[in-house]
Amino acid sequence: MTTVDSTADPSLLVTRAVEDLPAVRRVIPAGPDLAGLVRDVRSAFRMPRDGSAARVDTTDDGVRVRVVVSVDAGAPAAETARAVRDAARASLLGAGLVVAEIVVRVVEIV
Amino acid sequence: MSDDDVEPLYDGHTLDELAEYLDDDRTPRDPSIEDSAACVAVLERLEQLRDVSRELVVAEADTHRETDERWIEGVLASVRTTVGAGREIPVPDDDPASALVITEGAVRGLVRRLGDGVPGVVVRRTRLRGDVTRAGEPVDVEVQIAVAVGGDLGPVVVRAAALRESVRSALATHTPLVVRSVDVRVTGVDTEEASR
Repeated sequence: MTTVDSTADPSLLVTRAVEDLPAVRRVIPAGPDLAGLVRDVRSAFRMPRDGSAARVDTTDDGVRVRVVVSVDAGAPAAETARAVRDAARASLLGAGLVVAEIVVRVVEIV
Repeated sequence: MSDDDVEPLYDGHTLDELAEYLDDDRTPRDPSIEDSAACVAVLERLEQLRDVSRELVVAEADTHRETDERWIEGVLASVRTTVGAGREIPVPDDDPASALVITEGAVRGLVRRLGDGVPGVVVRRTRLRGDVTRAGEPVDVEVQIAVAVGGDLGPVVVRAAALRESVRSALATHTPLVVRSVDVRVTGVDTEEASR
C-alpha cells in the first residue's frame, strides 16, 4: 500500500489511492478531450510530470474529480469503476476535502 | 456552460461521428463528409493524432531536459484512449454525485483481445449498434474477423461460435449493456497463415 502525506496535492492523493486498487492497471492522465486534441495535439504535453494523473478542480461546492483508468479484465469493470470512485472519495475525505462530484472513466479493459 | 461544453460541429458532423467514420476506413463513402473541406481537415487531424509517435513525445520531454518514461507513457495512453474512445456507456449507480462510464473504445479493445485468445482469429472491427449511451437500450454487436484456415486450427464456424460466446459473456461481466445479439462475420480468410 502506498503511503501519501495527507497534505499532498489532492490529485496525487487520488492517483495513489486508485493505483493501490488491485483491479486497476494504471491511472491514465486525464488530459484534453478530443476537441482539444484536434485543435492542438501539443495540449496533451501539458500533463503534470509529478506522477499525478487524476484531475481535481476546486469549486465553490467542493472538489470535482475526474479519474481515467485502465482496468484488469479479471474483475468486472463496472465494479472496479465503483471501487475507483470509493477510493477517490475516501482519499479526499481523509484530507478534509469536500467532494462535489467524481467522474470515473474506464478506457481500457485488459 | 463553458466553451468546452459546447460540442463543435463540422458541417453538421460531430467529432465522434467523424472519428467513427474514420474507424470504418471511410466506407461506405459519405459525400456529406468527403465533400466538406472542414470535415476532411478534421479527418486528417484525427489520423495525425493516431500517429502521435513516441518520438514526438520524447522530443517534447527532452525540451524539458527530463525524459520521464512514465510521463511519456501517460501522454501516449491519454491520446490513444481519447482518440479511440467513442461513445460513453453509463454504469448504473445510486450515487448522484458520481458518474461512472465505460468507453466504447474499452469494449472494442476487450473484444479485440478476446479474438487474440481464439486460434487463428484476428478481430478487425467491432460495432455496437444501438444507443449505448442510454441505460437499458438493446444493443446489437457485430464483430468482423479474419481467420486462418487449415492445419489443426479446426473449423471456422466452431471458432467463430467460441468467439461469439466469449464476447457475450465478457460484455455481461464487464458492462451494463443489454446485448440483443452478437454477430460474428468472417470478412477475411488467410490460407497461408496456418501452413507457417
